Amino acid sequence: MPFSDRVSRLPWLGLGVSTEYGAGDAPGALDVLDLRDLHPGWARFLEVGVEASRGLDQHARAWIARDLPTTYHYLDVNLDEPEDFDDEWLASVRALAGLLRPAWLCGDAGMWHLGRRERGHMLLLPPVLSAEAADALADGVVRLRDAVGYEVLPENPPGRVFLGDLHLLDFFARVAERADTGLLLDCAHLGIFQRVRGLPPLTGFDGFPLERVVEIHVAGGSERQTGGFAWVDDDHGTAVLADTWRIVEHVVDAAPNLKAVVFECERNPLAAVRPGFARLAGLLDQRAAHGPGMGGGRAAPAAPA
Amino acid sequence: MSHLALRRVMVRLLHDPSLVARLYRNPDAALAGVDLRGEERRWLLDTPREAWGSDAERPQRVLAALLDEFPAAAHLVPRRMRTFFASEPFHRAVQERGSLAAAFGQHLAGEPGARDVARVEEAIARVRRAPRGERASGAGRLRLGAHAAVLEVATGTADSLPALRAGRVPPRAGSGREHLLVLRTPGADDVALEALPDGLAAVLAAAAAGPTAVAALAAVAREHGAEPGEDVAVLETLVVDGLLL
Repeated sequence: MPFSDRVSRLPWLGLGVSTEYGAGDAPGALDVLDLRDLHPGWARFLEVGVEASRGLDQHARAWIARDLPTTYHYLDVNLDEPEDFDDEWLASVRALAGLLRPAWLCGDAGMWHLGRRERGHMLLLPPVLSAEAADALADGVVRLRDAVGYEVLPENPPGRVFLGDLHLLDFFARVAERADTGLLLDCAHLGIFQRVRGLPPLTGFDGFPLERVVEIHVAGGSERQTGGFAWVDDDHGTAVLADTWRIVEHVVDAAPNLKAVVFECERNPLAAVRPGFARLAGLLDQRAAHGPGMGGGRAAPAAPA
Repeated sequence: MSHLALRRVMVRLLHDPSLVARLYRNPDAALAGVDLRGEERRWLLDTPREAWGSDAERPQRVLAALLDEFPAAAHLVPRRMRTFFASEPFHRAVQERGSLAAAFGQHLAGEPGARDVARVEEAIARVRRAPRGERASGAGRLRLGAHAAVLEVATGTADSLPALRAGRVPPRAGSGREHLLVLRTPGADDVALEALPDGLAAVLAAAAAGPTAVAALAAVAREHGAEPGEDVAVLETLVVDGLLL
């Protein structure tokens, strides 16, 4: 079944929040279930960052114990390295997906570990932005989708050095076409890329298949300088940069199959994240009223693809 | 697959300022042995030099993950840790998709004061990562399972680990040598250390080289004092214990 048909079977999730192992234990961190109770519309689902060797922490388990929707965000696979798809890891992913019953799998399509897979690495770097690398990545997306039976949405990773001759959006357009897959567009990461390349925030959208975007991420960042080199620290703070908001507004307005928006802010207290959630909720309300119709589709967890 | 080779060079540059300096001074020498196309080399050189060092905390984050498994050796030679990212084991592990933990252990073991402790911690890290559900060797052959390792170290090395991990002064090491079995507990991540008699260590060390004829392993057992009949019984016990596959 082509993506254009498969996407209609994916559930609408709306606005959600992310977590990863131990994040909820940090002092001052967001309690995702408290957020859900206080503002159900801001935490309609939980994106669970998973390193298969660690499993799920108490916060993720408490969430799924209430039978609430999730997505599975992998933190431990270099999709373009075939050696990464070993039987032991795939069995762990299937088992964890069985617990989470996610709407889909997603995650940064970059280099999570240096050398072979190691516990606790999670040291993310972007792919080389070349046609050859895009094709290898697409093949990995298909391999994982076939192996676990869920949609796999590759996400554009952050970086300070981007090598290659393709624009990041052209790279992921090629991945999406070859893998016939949906995408997770991280708007903050895209803003970082545009800044590094010296481009305006919306550069590259002219040839980009927005109908492939199923989920977006929004997060705060901090502008920094190193010896004259300007870069953005993807620190997941609450100060979302203006460039990121421009990208978010553009995509929310124009991506017809957008089904999920994550505000990545789990390491911040509730009071600090309210403005970001409120602004995103407002954008989604506007879209529901006037835009391409987010709010359609099923709201229940999806069956495997 | 040169995009992977290129990305691995990128990783090395992000962690090793000395490689960055060599890249801009003499790219041919810095990139020797790496199969890159001309345009890929140009992408590296077109990158602002300051960008490679913009995440000064990145190496520390990698070290933090590695230190979980090498607390004792790191306690002994803290300055050695700081040179890891310029070391040959680090660059080889990244470029050849090896184990970073093994490379770190190898680097720490290069310092005489930490050699045996680092080897033990490297073996612990290695057996912990061994695949589950290993298959038996072919008929008539046996090998040491990857979940086990045999080491010869200075007497007292194993006893020094708890003190070093706790940041305390360890008991003085003996002048002799001892054999240790490093063994991952079946079905768990726990790893135990056990002193081995010389004869048993010799048999297991011979089997560690890969699938070995049972007759050859029995001969090793006899060389170390096993009687005919007892030699095969020893091997059968090691198979039942899951050490030999």
